[in-house]
Amino acid sequence: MNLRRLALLCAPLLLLWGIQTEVNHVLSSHQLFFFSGGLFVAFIALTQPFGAGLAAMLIAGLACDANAPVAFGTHAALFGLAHNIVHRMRDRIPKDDAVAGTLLALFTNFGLFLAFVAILSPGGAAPLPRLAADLVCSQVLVALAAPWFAALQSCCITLVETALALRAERLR
Amino acid sequence: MHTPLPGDIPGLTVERRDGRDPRILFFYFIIVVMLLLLAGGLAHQQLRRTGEHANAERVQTQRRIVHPGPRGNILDRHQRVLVDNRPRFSVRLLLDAIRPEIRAEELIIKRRFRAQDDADKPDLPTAPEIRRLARMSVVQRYLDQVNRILGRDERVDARELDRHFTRELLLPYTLLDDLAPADYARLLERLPVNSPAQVYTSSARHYPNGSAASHVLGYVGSTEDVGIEDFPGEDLRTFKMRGSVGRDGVEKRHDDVLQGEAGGAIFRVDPSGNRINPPLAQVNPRQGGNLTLSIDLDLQLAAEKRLAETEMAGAAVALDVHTGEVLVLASKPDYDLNAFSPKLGANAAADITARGAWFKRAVQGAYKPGSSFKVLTTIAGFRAGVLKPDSTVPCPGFFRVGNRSFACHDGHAHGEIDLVMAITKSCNVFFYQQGITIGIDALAREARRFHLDRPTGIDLPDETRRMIIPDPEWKRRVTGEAWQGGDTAQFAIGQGFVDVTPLQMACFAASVARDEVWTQPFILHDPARPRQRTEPIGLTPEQRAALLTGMEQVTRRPFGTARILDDPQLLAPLPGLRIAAKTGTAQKQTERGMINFAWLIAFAPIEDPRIAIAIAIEGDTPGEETGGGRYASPVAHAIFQAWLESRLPGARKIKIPFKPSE
Amino acid sequence: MPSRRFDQARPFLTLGILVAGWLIMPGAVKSFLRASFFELTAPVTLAASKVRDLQDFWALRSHSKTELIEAGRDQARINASYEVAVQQTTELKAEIARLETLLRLPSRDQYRLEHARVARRDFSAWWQRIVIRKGRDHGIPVGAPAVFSGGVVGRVAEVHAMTAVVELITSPGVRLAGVVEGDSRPISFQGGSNPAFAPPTGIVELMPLDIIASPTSPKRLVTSGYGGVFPPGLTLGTIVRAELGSDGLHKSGEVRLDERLGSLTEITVLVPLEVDAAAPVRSSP
Repeated sequence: MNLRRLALLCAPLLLLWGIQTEVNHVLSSHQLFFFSGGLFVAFIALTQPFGAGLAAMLIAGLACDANAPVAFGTHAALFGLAHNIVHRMRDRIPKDDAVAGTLLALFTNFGLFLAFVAILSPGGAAPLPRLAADLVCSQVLVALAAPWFAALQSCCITLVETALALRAERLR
Repeated sequence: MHTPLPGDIPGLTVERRDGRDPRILFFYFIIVVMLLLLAGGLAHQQLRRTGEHANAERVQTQRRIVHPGPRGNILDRHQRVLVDNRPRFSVRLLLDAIRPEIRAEELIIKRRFRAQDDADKPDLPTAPEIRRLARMSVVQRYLDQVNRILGRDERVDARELDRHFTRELLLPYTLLDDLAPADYARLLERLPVNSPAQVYTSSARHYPNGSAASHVLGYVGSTEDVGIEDFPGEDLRTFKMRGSVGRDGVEKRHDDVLQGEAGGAIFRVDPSGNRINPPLAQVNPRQGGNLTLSIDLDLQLAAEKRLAETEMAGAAVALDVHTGEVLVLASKPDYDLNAFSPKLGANAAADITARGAWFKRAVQGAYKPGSSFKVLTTIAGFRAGVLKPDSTVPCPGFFRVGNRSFACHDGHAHGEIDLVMAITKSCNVFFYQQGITIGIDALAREARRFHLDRPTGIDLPDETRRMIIPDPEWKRRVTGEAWQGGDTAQFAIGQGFVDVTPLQMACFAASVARDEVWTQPFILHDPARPRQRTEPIGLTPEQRAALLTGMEQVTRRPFGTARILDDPQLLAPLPGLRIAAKTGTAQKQTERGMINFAWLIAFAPIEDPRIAIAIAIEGDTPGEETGGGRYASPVAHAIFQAWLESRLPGARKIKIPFKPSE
Repeated sequence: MPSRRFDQARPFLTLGILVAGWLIMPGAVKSFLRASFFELTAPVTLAASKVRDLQDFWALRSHSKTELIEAGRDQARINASYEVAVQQTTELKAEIARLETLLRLPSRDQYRLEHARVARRDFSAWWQRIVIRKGRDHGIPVGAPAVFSGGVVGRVAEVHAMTAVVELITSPGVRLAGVVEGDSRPISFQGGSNPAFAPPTGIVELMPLDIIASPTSPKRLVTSGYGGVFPPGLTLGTIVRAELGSDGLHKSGEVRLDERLGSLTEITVLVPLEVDAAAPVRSSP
């Protein structure tokens, strides 16, 4: 696994995490919560090799875990699982279609959100109206951010691949 | 070896059989029959016995927990709380939440045993022993956490823990019980919200007035017999939290009203018996009904305070003359009811026994009424026609019947004495004479007419049946001896064989106050209870006036035996209250010597009687003059004073207790 | 084809092995990793917070001089009233100190005040936390109470090098012992569900039956001081509903919390003095 690739994959994820926390900071006065797990997973799982993608997911997941009062590793495990599922299906999804990518991010986000509800609210003790509001808010924001984030990641990936190609050429 | 059959394709490795081979058909037949049998059996089990299997599965995988409901409150006639419930805080451990920890601890313990040096290595404990050690270790860990917060050093009781795991696995294990408010506040704040150790509440009886009316209120004991109505799953294995049941007093007599409705929950359990949340069904417990007693707390406290000041055993009873409702039912010595909550300790029980405080003197104490009985003798004399309001008797200070001589009340000769003065001064000779003239049969008949020969039937448990109204037949039956004239003389002044309870004498006083022969006492308050009406005594107005004048003079100076009530130097005046009373001092021969019993019966106001009282105090020193006037009158005074104060406008602040509907 | 099936399962097998390895990893390693990842992301949080402060600064700079003069005048009035309050407080403190000396009581001044800017607010259905811009370097200990002008904010849940995480009283994971103002019986307060677009709420339990509260006659809930974490008398919220609880012995109810808890920008951490004495303290600004 190439560390430079990994670093360039993780950089937008860290930026996404920062944006997510800032959005949550703003939304807190309205008692809303933005969850963007689908964005973390979808584009990397769709485009990147398995090893690099999984490693990026685990790192991003651990960063999220460190900042949330959940068992350390919860985000990482769920992101990893979601990554594997998307990776397994990616042959059937057009990679360059923005709409398909956005839909994939929305579905992934929805699945991850439900997984968190199941883990953090065992026995159905969750305040459902609040969760519904959070989910709607998250899905809207994910839908808005997905094209931009896909483009950002695409740029980073291009950067990675160009750098890797140049390096390979240099070595030749 | 496979022989190629006609039709076999060369090179094909699959064996082909002709399906019409009779031997094969036979096997087909057997297989079909067996399959049909299997299908039939399956259908039988699945279709016909579905209910049985479903029920067996349900019984095996579901458990029921029953929680008792809190008992109802007991209030006085003005809705002030006599008994309510206090929350009892405990810290308990949810056993199903610590299961993974116990399993992990088992592995650690096994590993430790295996890691020990060969020389020191003991035999590896059995699986149940390791499990027990692991449980102990994990539970102690949580207890240590609680110890750290509270600054204690409690240890887990291994036997109790084993018992709990064996019998009550579904119920939380109590780490510490009966926590002080400051302790549970600390635990609330410092135990993590999701910790298996949590603060729980249950209820225990609370007696805000300590020992007040303890013999009336009674106490509760714990029981496992907690029933729950209209809750499914009666066939399921049920775990019951301990409830409470009335053991004495009103708590016992009206347990059906006070008992709360139990709540319950049905949980699914895993193969180890640990419950799986949330419950499949749940019903919250409900508090029992409140009970309003006829007791007036102010009067009760006043009576008990004054009784306690005498430092002697005794009883005081006060009744509402019209309704028969008991306003005061006090008995000393008594016990602090809070000692019973949550459980009476052995030392406290021994102390109560040593002080003789279990004995409810007001309803269980059968005493000779002494001179207070002279009121009945007077009535009997009037009704027999042998006594006139202006009858006089010469009192030389003694009275001779046959060979026996009986002394007068204070040993002095009263001279020529009339009825009013005989009552006022409690002249024994006057009543000896009247008793002999009336005769034992008429006297006993009159006493029975006032129901003095039987229990009052008050709605309290343990009322004695040992009251005695003697007559010649009774004496012959019990002692085998013949009735003597002296027995009649003694009976006429409330001595000899006669025994009555303070409650009976209070009923008698109330009856005389109403000019009727019987008063049924009630301990439950009913605001709409009608005035009691029974057979009139049958005295002429002159006779009644003479009796009441004599009884009023008892409370007056200079001659009344209860003149202390009229002495502002000794007792606070009771302005405007005319009291009719009769004191009594009965003697009883004990192993220690002659003991006196001080009596007083009274009612007031004379012009419209509303409250009737009977006081009985047991002397504790042989030979000491424990007179009714000196010892019983102050108790009656305290009750009358509290009664007068309660009738002043705005005298009582009525505290409305909490109602669940709020 | 077995090999193809294995290829399909390999990603999940890999993840399974990783998860299994993670589960048996020693707790110390995980704690170290957690702290490392937090500190890795902390500069992002701090930078964002500073940028926000800068944004606020420039926003304030855009105010006209007239507005500033008016604000300054208002501020002067408020300061004057505070001056009086401070003098009274000083006198009262002196009186308390005198009485403490006279009665040989331990001092009530058990806390040092540490003011901190809020770097991040993180309010989900499951947790309600803020990250403040002060941490271990400022002697802030885990468990210290945090307050603001409206009352209690919460309790410090995590302390890192330059930041600390405060769990808010709106969080369902926070529970403390309160009392109704003027009463001394402890009541359990716990953060409740926080519906979207609505003020935060908490729940009270174990409330004595004689306490009656309704939206028209709410009761003020303050800290009891019994728990040993929060000093007594700090506002938690107002009890607006009280109903008979399921045990029949207590009431349960709803507490309305301060709406400003959702938009906190600065709080004060009460650092216990005995902890403070042992901790490396940097003077507060």
